[in-house]
Amino acid sequence: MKTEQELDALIAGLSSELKPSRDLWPELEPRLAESAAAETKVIAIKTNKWLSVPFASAYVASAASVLLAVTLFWQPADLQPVAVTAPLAFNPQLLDAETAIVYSFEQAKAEQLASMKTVDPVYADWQQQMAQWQQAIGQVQLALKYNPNEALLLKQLRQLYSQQQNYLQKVVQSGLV
Amino acid sequence: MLRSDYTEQSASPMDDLVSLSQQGDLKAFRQLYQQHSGRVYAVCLRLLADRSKAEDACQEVFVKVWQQLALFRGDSSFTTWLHSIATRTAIDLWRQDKLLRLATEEMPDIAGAELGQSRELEQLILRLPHQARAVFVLFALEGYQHQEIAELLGIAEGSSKSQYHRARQLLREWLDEN
Repeated sequence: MKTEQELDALIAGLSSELKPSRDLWPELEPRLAESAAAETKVIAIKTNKWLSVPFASAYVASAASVLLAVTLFWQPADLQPVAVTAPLAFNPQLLDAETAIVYSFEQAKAEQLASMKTVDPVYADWQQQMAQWQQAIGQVQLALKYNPNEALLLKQLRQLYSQQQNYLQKVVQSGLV
Repeated sequence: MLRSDYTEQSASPMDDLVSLSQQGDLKAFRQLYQQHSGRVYAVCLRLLADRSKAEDACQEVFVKVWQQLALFRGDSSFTTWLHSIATRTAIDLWRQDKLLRLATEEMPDIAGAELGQSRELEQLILRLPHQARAVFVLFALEGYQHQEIAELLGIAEGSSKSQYHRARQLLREWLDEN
């Protein structure tokens, strides 16, 4: 058997470059041109400061606050307020399952976004990725309107939020490195 | 070979090409592509062990680089920045591939010409089991530490070390057989 030193010598002799069997540029060039054209369309959006990272954080934080306020203070009109004997404390466990899931994940998301400083270029499309998850979450919430407390839908909602949270965590950490 | 070796050969012309590319100059970007495609393709091929997938990955890397050039501020060298995108893109595809791939240990069919002078060792690297190959390429050829590899591949640091030793053991055995 080859010794460790012999293997190391062979490894050291490997080239740092390998040539593809064909020229990839002819296929690549149109993709770049397409990409440049698409980028021109989104430049207006990207340069809009209201959609930048700090404002996106603020939007989500605001959404979470509104959700919390609605959750805490909304009551059906036909219910009379009962005598309050003890200070009201917010308890997510008293909410219906869907609201509890949304509340806890949206709150965590707002905190994650608030801690975001910069974003590694690898995650340059993070807002699009987040929007896709949000769209999927919206679909599940729509289904829940027709089937409230459906266990499978609630599980899907939790999974989608969890995936979105894990992705956002990676994005946030990429900017801290 | 290692990441620490990625110094710009000629800083000024490279900077000009990067700057022109950032302004949308495709000719300048083509020169960057020509200078770096060999290195990008090498990491893609070694990680994916499949010529067609490596070619797709290589293109994907340069599309990403083109799209994200505006974000490149020069905090690190362009080569380091590009190579980081290349490695991460190849690992993402490697991960997808891992889910799809049947557990075959067949010798990949790669033409000798593109493997350079160390054809035998290159072929054997491509023959390594999926995870062992990724760890070996990232540690021995790309200069990542086991802790970094563990994060990149989503495995334990100890697994990275054991997979690396397994890869070396297999390579030594196979080199002896040939």
